[in-house]
Amino acid sequence: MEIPSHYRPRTSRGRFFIGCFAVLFAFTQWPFLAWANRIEPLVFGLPFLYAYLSAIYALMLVALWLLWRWRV
Amino acid sequence: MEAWIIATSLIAVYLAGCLIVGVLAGRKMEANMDDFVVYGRRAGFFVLYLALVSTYHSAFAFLGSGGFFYTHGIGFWDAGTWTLMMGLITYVFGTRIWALGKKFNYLTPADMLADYYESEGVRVLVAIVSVVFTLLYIQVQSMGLGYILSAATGDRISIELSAGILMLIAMFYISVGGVRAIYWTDVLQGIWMYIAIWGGALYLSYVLFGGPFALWRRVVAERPDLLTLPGPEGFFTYPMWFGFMITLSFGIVFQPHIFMRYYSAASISVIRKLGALTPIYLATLYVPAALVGLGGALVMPNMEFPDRVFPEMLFRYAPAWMTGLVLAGAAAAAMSTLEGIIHSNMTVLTRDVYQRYICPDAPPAHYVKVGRWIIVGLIGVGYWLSLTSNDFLVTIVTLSGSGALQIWPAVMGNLFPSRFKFTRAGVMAGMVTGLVTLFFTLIVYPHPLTLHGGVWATALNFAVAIAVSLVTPPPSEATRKRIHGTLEEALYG
Repeated sequence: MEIPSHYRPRTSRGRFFIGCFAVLFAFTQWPFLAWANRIEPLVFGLPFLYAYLSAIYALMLVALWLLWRWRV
Repeated sequence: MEAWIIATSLIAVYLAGCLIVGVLAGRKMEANMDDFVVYGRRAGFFVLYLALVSTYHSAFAFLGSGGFFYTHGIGFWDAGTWTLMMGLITYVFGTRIWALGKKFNYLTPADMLADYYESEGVRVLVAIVSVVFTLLYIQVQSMGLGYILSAATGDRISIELSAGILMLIAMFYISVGGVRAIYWTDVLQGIWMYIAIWGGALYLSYVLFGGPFALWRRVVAERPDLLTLPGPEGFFTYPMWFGFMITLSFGIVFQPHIFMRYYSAASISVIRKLGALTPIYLATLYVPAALVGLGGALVMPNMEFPDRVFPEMLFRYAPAWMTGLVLAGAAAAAMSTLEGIIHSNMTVLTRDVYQRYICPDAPPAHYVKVGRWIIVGLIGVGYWLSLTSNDFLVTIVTLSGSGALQIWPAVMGNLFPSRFKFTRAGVMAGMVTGLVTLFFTLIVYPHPLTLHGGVWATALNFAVAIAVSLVTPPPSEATRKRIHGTLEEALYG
């Protein structure tokens, strides 16, 4: 019997994670990056691009933590 | 006492600590390749976490990243993306690599790929890619070590001699203790380098600017060109941003010194936990690096060698004891990666070349002995290479990652069962195409259309591998069942 594809997640949590991570990853690339590529407005004194990316990275860390806790 | 004596003495204390830890760890080593190479496949989370992150982060993270922020500005915060990708790759690929390594006693990437594709050609090609491109990485660490000790002594010892001394020390404890010495010195080095870069960067930002937020405000006011893409020199275009992310995530993971870390884990849950938690360390190391690079651009503009911005700032603005502690951290970053690469290259050459083709039936202790001589040879070659280049550390690392990327299609076919099957002919044709393309996209006409040359090569590699795989036979059904069945059982029960 053929082994099922390992490219497709088999659980709803797996699909949720892939979706979340893909969206967050997309936010770190063009064209979203082009939108965020500016200094103003400053966020807590940090340039906008740096603060924007830092926020996305924090969310990606949370997503990875969920991936581990859910054993996807 | 003069500042350079204090700084150099602190580095000497750190090196003595490495030697002691390395020798003590090596006393528990058994004279067989499993123990010498993959820690007997018993590494727990704590040791493997610090071994993985300190191996991943090297002189390029400690020195080169500051230099990149200094020259190209905020574009280097792309580092957050590739370090987070590294976590995901560990979770998805690392678990599979671990499962197959445990079941079939693999020691090298070529072991795994040659078994699945039933091909000695694949073994040889992967072994060549593994060694040739990571030699560039040895060069990076050697250059970094040279900078560090030479800077600490106030240029009283040349860069060349400094690199030689530190590489000899690393060679000693790798030879004596194998991977046990490497993992336990990595623990020391991983902790030291993290504290050192944060401590040094925060100290400088408070002394020079009144704190990190004040530093950022000064950069906004005085050097806004550093705070948007593509940066002052136009380097970090959007395609280049994407290319750096690919070459420094997948490209580093596929290098043998990271790839083989996964074999050594005690269980699959250790790897999963690593995937979730290593990006915290990896990504946050670049926060102080940004403070160093951007702060340096304000107070020490027009440096000839931007990679030296951190040591130069410390010497000018920090007390000697802090300079010594931080530079020891930089040495830790370089040595932890250097020893991992030397050791993994030794394993590839011993296992995939010597044991396979020259002396197949010797006792285990013989291979350990041969491995030690290979370590001596690799240190010599890496040292010689380091005398020939003054390029940016990071640029050399991305060249190195680009080469390792060329095994990507082969890894996909091996680790991911699916209806489409990569074939032996397909992955070999793809790899050769990728390597030839690299020559053109990195050397003849670097980074066409500002997309990193490694990405061009990898895309063509995939295209050729898929096209050839469509018309050539896949690995035998028995092999596919054996290997993909193991993955199915390990991951889905």
